[in-house]
Amino acid sequence: MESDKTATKPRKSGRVTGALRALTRNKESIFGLAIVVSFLLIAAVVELSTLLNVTILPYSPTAEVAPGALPPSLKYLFGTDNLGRDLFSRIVSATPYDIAIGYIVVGSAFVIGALLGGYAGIRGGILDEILMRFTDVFFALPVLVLALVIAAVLGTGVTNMAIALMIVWWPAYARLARGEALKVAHQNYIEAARLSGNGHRKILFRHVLPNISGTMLVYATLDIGTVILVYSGLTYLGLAVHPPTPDWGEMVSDYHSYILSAPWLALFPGLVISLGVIGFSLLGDGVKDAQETR
Amino acid sequence: MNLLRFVLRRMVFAVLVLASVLTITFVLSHLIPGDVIQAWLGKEAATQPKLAALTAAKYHLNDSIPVQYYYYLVNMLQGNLGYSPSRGFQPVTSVIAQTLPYTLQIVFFAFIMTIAIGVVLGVVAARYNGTVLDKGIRIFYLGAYSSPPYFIGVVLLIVLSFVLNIPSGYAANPNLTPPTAITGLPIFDSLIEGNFAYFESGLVYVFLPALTLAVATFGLLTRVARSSLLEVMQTDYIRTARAKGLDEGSVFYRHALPNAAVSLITISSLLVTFLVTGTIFVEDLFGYPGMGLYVVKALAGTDYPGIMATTLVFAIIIITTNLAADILYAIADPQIRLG
Amino acid sequence: MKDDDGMVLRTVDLKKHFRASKGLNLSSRSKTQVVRAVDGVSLSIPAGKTVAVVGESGCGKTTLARTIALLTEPSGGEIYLDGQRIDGGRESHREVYRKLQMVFQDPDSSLDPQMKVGNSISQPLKGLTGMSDREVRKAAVESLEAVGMSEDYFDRLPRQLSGGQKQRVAVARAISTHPRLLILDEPTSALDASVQAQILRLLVDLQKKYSLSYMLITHNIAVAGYLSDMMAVMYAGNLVEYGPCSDVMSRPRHPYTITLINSAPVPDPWKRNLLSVNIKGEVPSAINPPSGCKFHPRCPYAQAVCSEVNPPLEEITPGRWVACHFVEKTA
Repeated sequence: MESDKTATKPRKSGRVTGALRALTRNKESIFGLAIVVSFLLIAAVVELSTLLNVTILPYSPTAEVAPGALPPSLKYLFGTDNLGRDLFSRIVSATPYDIAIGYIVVGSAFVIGALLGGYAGIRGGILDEILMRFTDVFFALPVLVLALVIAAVLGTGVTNMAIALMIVWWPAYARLARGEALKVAHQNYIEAARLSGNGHRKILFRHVLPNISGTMLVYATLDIGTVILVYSGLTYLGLAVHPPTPDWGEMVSDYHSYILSAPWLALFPGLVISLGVIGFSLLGDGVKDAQETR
Repeated sequence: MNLLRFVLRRMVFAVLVLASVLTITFVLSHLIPGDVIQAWLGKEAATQPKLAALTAAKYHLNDSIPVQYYYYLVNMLQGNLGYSPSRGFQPVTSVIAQTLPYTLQIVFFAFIMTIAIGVVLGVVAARYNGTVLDKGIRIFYLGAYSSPPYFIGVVLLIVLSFVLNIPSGYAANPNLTPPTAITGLPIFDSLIEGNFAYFESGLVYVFLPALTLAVATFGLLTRVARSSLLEVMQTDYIRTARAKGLDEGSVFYRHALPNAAVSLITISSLLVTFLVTGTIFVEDLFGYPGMGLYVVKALAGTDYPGIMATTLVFAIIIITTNLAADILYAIADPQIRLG
Repeated sequence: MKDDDGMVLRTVDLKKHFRASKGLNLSSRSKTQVVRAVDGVSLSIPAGKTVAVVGESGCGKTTLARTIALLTEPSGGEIYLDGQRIDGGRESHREVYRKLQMVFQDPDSSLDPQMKVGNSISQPLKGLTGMSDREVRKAAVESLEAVGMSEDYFDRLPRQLSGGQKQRVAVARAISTHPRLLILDEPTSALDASVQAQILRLLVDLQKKYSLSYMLITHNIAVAGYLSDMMAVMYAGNLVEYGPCSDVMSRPRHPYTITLINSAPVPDPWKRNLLSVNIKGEVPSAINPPSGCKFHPRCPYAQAVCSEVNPPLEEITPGRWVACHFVEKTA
């Protein structure tokens, strides 16, 4: 440490830059980061343009611009669909929703899970036991199946699907937070905090959450892709969006009957889902490696 | 003795989880918008006044909640799961009986294919760790694992339809006589019966759905197989084997492989969960008449009894698989029983 | 040891038992086993003095410290701080912790890696006193300087400090509210020898400066000898010997103390106690401790009575307390 030249430099943002440096050392993570950043940019630009009422898409995603299905060309990048709508515009215009759902679901699962799991972890006792048995039940059911049941009760629609996904998503975070909180709870600085007159709640916010959020963030990064994947499954089943609103999963479902006559129709939206999910998982892997090697 | 106690404890736990799932479905059946009767007959309950009266009596829907809960459990245990409006108000139980075998068939073949593809690629990747082959396999499984099963199905359909003409839309050629139920799974029954025409047709029809699921799932296995093999290769035990003068190949296949196999048991229950969930998409995509297709139709037709019942069956399959994996793992690795 | 005159801490028959069960036992209600980590300890700490509690790892000394610090609920007995009974929620924790603080063994784990040094030191000030933010800052800096560190360290994170510096910070945090009693749980055992000496010297200085009382938990006889006025020897949850530190070290009377002191490395081998006792076996399990005197299976003087009656801690000469049926044999 003393001989390390970098140690003398101001270390204010050392953590973040260090993590970024470790991340960019790996080609795969750069690729993942590039995908994620471009998806985020596209989502932001599209959303902004709708808010400002500016047209940036080449064509309207819902209007007929060509006579029936045309193969990909310079004019229609991904071709047009059976109703003559521009596929590229449709796919791009669906980006904000799919990305936002990923972040909203993971974000709320993170918050609920960290609070409940973290508290249960340091508190222990009957509360902890109840929470763990509760999550056990959730773990016995696949998320998609649970989401389907919740969809049946709540009804379809984007908001309801987001709620359904939140309901099934938080237990994993509660489990993770609880495990990490247990590790932290055995540290002496928690006891020192008790000796400073702090109760469970203060300890949770001042010591436990700051110390477990790193590991949880890594998990969350990996997880956003999974949410997008499952959400696309729900839209494929027609539970989230209703035509003519475009959505990736819904497009694959819509166009799969044309795979022999116009295979590009189902291929492009599917590829976009895969690319997004790959981006998030490569980035997540990279973040995980970077954290572990530190 | 220790093992028996462990198994018993896991079984009690499995039953408790199942009981909780039943309770959740009961609560949900009361949260369904509209009358409780809709939970048993779906949205078109009003069109079936006779059946509605019968159902209300059977499930004691006019009594207090605890009474309803009691009769709910009694009916569940007797296999009364309501009537399915998307199937012309057939009892849900008989719809499940018709569709479940097909789903199990897909899961069975998909499981075998997943294990085959997953283990072979994992072993190759570990054996040739760091080479182009290893990297190629990584790209393949990352891509496959990150893709939704219905998209993989679409790709397979596009690719294979140029090469082969694989039919879909049924579980076997509808012109063939199906076998009589022995095991309940038509493909196996036809083999036992000697109905080879149906057997062959059944295999042809199950091939694409099962392959699609296997491609969507094998990445999980390859990843674990590869890393656990590499981990075993680092142990002292393998170093000793190397020091004895064994060549790298036999060290790998005779010593490392059997040791890494134990870690694969833990992931097998996760694989089954994936495959079972995936049937919903592939059955819809290929028109395979299993439980997955049923649940899709039920969702479209707000067929609550169908949705609730399929959820329950999915849960039972997954709880049983988890239990089996736990027990297998405890037998394979005695240390886990202490934890 | 009846009245609290001049005693900052007094425990009476303090017990801490743990139930050793593994999770939720659904199938078999197997009888839960009890670990008697602390099994009836009566100990007093005179104001301004240092009492060392020595013993091997697993003898219950850390549990004793944690129980006294109310980090875990005692299973029985009484704890008095400055004459006030504090166990069982009789006194608010804030009141107790204003007078009692603790320094932990592992400096890495005793500081929150995400928290700046200054904030760690300020924590007891914020939680226990009604000071304003500016007063807290001033007191924290004072505390930091008292342990020989400059204000420059205030905004550093623990990972930018050495092990010795971390332990200094932990001490600074513990003394920031000027407590009466400091429990030192193996304060130097995780440190290098040279750093150990610095920390020990610091503790001696601080004791004088702030007239602190120390309860020192250690397995290291040399550390105990350096820092302590009184020594209590603990074995399997009980105190077996108590007395002035120099006396106990030069003339140990309990067979266990003799072996403990003889096995410790001493700079001058001629000072080694001539009475050598060979002990066999291992430290007994706290789940199923031996009957009677817990040391009897390993004791060369053990007689039939030792396996039946646990000898009480008795004053053999003024100020010297020993728990042994045959204490005359070691005279």
